[in-house]
This record gives sequence, structure tokens and C-alpha cells, in this order.
Amino acid sequence: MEIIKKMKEYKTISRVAGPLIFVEKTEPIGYADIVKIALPDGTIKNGQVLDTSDDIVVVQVFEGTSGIDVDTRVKFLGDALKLSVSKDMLGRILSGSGKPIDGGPEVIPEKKLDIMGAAINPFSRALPHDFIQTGISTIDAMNTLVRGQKLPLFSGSGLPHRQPFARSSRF
Amino acid sequence: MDKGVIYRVAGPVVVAKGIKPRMYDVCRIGKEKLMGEVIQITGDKVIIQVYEDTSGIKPGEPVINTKEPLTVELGPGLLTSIYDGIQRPLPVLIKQMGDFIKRGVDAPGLDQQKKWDFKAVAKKGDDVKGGSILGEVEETPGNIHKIMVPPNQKGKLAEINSGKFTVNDVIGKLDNGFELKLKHNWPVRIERPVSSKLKPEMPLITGQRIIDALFPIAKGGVAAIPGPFGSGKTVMQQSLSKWSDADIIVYVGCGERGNEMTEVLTEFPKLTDPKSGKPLMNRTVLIANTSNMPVAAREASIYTGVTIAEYYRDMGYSVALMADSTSRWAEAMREIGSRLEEMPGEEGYPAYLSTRLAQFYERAGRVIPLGTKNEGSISIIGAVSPAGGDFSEPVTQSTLRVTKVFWALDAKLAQRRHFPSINWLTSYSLYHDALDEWYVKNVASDWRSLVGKMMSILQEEEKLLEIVQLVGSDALPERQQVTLVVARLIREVLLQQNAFHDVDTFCDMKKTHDIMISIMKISKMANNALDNGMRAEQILETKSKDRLSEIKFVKSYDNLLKEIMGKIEKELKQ
Repeated sequence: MEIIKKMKEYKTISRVAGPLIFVEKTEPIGYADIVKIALPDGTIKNGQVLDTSDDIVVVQVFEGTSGIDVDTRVKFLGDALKLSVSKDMLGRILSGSGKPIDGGPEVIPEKKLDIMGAAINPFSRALPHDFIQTGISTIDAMNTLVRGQKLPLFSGSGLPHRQPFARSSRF
Repeated sequence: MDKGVIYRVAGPVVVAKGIKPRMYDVCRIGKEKLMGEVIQITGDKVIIQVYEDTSGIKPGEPVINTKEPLTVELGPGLLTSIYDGIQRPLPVLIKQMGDFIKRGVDAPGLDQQKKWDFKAVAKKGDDVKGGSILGEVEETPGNIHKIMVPPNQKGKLAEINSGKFTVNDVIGKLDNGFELKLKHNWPVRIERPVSSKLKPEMPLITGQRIIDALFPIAKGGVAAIPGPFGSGKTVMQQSLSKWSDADIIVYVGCGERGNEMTEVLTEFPKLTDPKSGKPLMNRTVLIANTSNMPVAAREASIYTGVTIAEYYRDMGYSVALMADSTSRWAEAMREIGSRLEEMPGEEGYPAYLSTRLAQFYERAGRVIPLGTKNEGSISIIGAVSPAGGDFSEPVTQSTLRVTKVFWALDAKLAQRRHFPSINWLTSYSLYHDALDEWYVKNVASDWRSLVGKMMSILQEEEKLLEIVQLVGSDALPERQQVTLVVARLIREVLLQQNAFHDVDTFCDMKKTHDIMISIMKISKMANNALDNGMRAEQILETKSKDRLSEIKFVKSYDNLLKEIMGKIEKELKQ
């Protein structure tokens, strides 16, 4: 929080369109940087830089642009979106942006990780060959799940896809 | 040095000011010196596509113009290598940055330290020009790498030495002072020149019966394998790169799953080449840009692959290039096109999609390379992954315009466990006429007529099956019931092939021919039996004909085939 206070705040929003806001006359801003947006009523929203240039910076607002006006203040945090992670996160309930919503305390970070991750070098991958027993016979017998593979669950509207999804957490 | 600053960053597209590059010059972007390529110049603004992730890059950071186009290093050491889209060896990247791909790392394509044993063939005083062979290096056991004069050089050889050299050592000089080395660089977007193009008239033997017999591809030809998810595109491409009779295989994994690339990487070194008995990896170059690696490098990976293929073609080898998959490549173009705010064409793909696809496929061909008389060829086999299996989408359609072979993979066949799941009714090959002479000379004179018979029986089966669905097979005339039996044999014995069985995974031309002959014999015997008063029911009940597929799984099958055919003959004579 200390660092954020030191950062420059801009009140130069020139345009708001859909989920985007356009900020003018900034110092050089890094691509994909995270943005804090402080509305006049005190609400704080988060966003990310989609396009940056000398003249204009385009920010995508994660929580939607409702309530944003030209008096809104914008701070660029100078870093990509990172999530604090810790082993203690097991058993917690978090919001989409990683904040606890189970009434418990903040997560004490062991590490801060870029949520975009990094591509694995294909040469250092091992071939997945460990069988995961799910206990659901149609998966185990016919469409075996392998550790390290991806499992998309296709569903139509009204179909009970939540149950197998929840069951999958027991694997 | 030409230096400028960044003006704008939007994903992989960076706009710079203050440099004066030529189109497709490589630039180094920002403090981390990310690699990028100039793709548009408007006034003082230069648009650069960056091959690495651009998060955190700011306007105002420096841009350096290297004044060179994107090139690949061509020389000994390419074979057995595995590269990313811009020819950085992946094993070297692991050493430099660990298991994950980070950015700003520069790694030369060839091993700069390794000493190669170079034997000069050309002599001092020889007149040489681009493509002339200077000497040889044994790159991997059994694979001779011919060192050539770079295509744009010519003169008299002032000096040439045999001995142990690294790729950067000078092995000789031309009279104009040009220093010859084991390696030379070549820009990936420029086609390597050839002295003349030849007609494709030799098949690329793939060891896959359905391809060799029904839908052959010529050496120097192009084929497209479109297929929906799970229809076996990748297995097909891997079988082809394992067993096709090309000298060199370049496999470009373009935007595919990382686990699949790993499969190739772990499996290839273990497999042996049926011709030489050496590991298959010894003749293979792999290029991997998996689905989560930077998208701009994906666009380049196809060009990197085809340039390496051309280099080996120029030595007089037949090269097969597998591109898996060109749809991901087209999507990479679409992503970059939309960042550039270009006018989108069909389904959002750039308007130049079909030109780019054509340019790529046109780099295939059977040619006489510069400077030598040994012909070389590049055959390109491109997988296409149409969304939802819909072949009318733009990438498939633009590809079909330039390819002469179409292997349509069919999800329904795959679900029925019919592999390779090439649909025999929608697939085609336009090389039958061009290859006919070769078949007559090298396999059998009746090849073409046998293939024609197989196809017509399969087509008749399709028609009959429609009737069977309505009224049941008992209502068919007896002769047509027999046709159905024969068609089933063609499907089960000739077309189905087990890529995971030691023997069946590769089938030579003679065996394919024997199978076709046997099926035609059975067809004839069954029809004769009908004439002699045997009932169709009885013919259906004969057991031995179902044993024909046994010969697929036996290496020396001659006696077994004779035995089975004898039994069938006996049963049908009763």
C-alpha cells in the first residue's frame, strides 16, 4: 500500500466505452500493467493496460465501467497482475481476483506469481502416463483421465455439469 | 547503429519511432532486447511484431534495428535438433532459463563449439557458384551433410581445406575474398533459388496402405489433412514422419498441445528407421511452438521449417515437411492482423490468408537445385484443424485450392475405431496419372486398374448401404450381397491399419499389392461360386475369408497368404 501512495495519479480520462477507459497524457506505462481506478464515491476498481502509447493508454476495467466519470482517478501499478499464493490457501474461498470472501483474514503470501504463467519448454515436459482413478466407471474405463492432461467438460444449458465437476475434486 | 524508441505497445505489436528499417528487418525491443520483425512502415512509424511476451514494455524504451532480416543458421547440427519458432534450440533454452520459456534470451541455432570432420570434394581453382558442393560432413551416422556455396555467391575457389572445423571456422575462400564456412545464414521469408523445377512423378512411399494405394502423394507434392478433433491427425502425421521414404523429415509442431510434442520428442529417438536401422531422430528436425508459446513466433515457425527443408533439398535429398497444424498458423496471422487493425476477411482471417498459404505450399516441389545435378524434393503435408469439422471454413478451403491431395479425416470413422480414419469417399489425390508410369515400372502393371476396382467397389458399397438401411441386406440381390462382403474385406484388410502394431504400422508396396490382388481373387471366386449355384448366404458364412486380415500382422506372410487363399478357394468350391 505504501508504494501505491507514492505513485502518480491521473485524472485525465478522456473517454469511456464499454469495458474500456482511455487515459491521456501519462508517463510511459508498461503493457499489461495493473491499474487501480478510484471512483469519486470511494469505490476501487481494478484494470489492466491493453494498449499503451505516448498519447493514450487503453485500460480494460475488470469490474465494469459503471460509475466511472471524468473525475475518476487512475493509478498505474507498474507490474503485471500477480496473485499472492500460499499453502494456507487450501480450504479458503476466494473471489475472482484472489481476495478472500469467506470472512477470514487476508492470505499471507509465500510467493507472488504472475497469473498469466509462463509457457513450459516442450523439451522439459515429461509424457503424461499416470492413470487417475476417478471412481466414475464411464471415465475410468472408456475415457481415461491421465495426470497432466486437460479435461474439458462439455455441457449444455440445464445439464447438471456441476456434480461431475465437484466430484472431480475428489480424484 | 540505427536506434529508436517505442511509441506504442499493444500485445505482440509494437510501434517504434526514429528507426529507418527495411521491411522484415529484425529489431531488438526494449531493455530486455526482445526479438521482433518489421511488418509495416507508415511514415516515421514502424510496426514491429514481437516474438516474445511484451508485458511490462513501456513507450520510450529503446529499439535497435539489426538491419538484417529474420534468418536461420544453416549448417551441420540441424538434424536431431529441436527448435522453437525462431530457431532457438529448446535444450539450450532450458539451460539458460529453466523449464519455462522466459524472454530476452538469445541462443544460436547451431552448436558453435562442436567440431565437424569436413572432407573437401571441390578443389582449389574450381569454378563454383551458389549451391556447388564444397565437401561433406557426416552429420549423424549415415547422414551426409553436403556443405554448399551460399546461393548468392560465385567465383573461383582460392582456398579449400579438409579437417576438423566448427561451424564458424573458415574452411576456404573464393577469389573475391568471400570466406566459406560450414554454415551460412538465409532469410526465412525468401525462397531459396533453384535451377529448375521438375514434374512430380515419383510417389512418396508412406507405408500407409490407404495412402499408397488409393490417395498417393508425389515426391515434391503437397497434401492437406483436415480433420476434426480426435480424428487422428497427429497420429497420422507422426506415422508419416516415421515411415515415409523421405531422406530428411522436418516436423513443425505449430500451436499444438505441448504433451503431443513431448510424445514426438520421447518416441522418435527410440524408433528405428526401417531403411537404415538407425534411430529415426537422426534424420529429423523438430520445430515446436506449442499453443501457449508466443503467437508471433508461431507465424515464423512455418517459415523456419520450410527454409530448413529447402536447405536439405538443395543437397539433393528428398525432404518431407509436416506442418501440424496450419490452422493455428492462420489463427496466429489473424491475431496479429487484428492487432494491426487490418481489415478482416472471411471469419476474421486477414484478406491475404490464401496468398500466404499458397506461398508456403508453393515452396514444395521436385527440383534440380542450384549448382548440382542431383534432384531434390520437398513434400509438404499440412494438417488443418477446422473448427467443428466443417470443411467449408476459409483455412481448409484456401488450402484445398493449392494442394493436390486431400486426406479427409472423419470423426465418425474414428469413433467406429476405423484407423487411419481417412474417409475414402471424400478424399482424393490428383497424382494418379503422374505416378502411373512409376507404379508400372516399380510395382506392378495392373496397379492402376486394381486401385480403380477397389474404389468402385467402395463406392458401390456406399450406395448399397443406403438401401440396406431402408430394407435390410436380405432384400438385396445375391450378387450385391457379395459386393458388400468384398467391400468389407477392402475396408478391414486394406484400409484399416494399426499404427501401434510392430508389423502393421508399415506396409510396403508389394504387400499392399498382394492384398489388393487377393481381395480381387476372392471377389472373383465368390462371384463364380454364385454362378455355380452357391447361395449368397453360404458365401457369407465361409470363415476363411475373415482370416485374410491375419496377414497384416505377420512379417513374412507369403505362406500364410497361400494357406488362407487355398482354404477360401476350397470353401467356395463346395
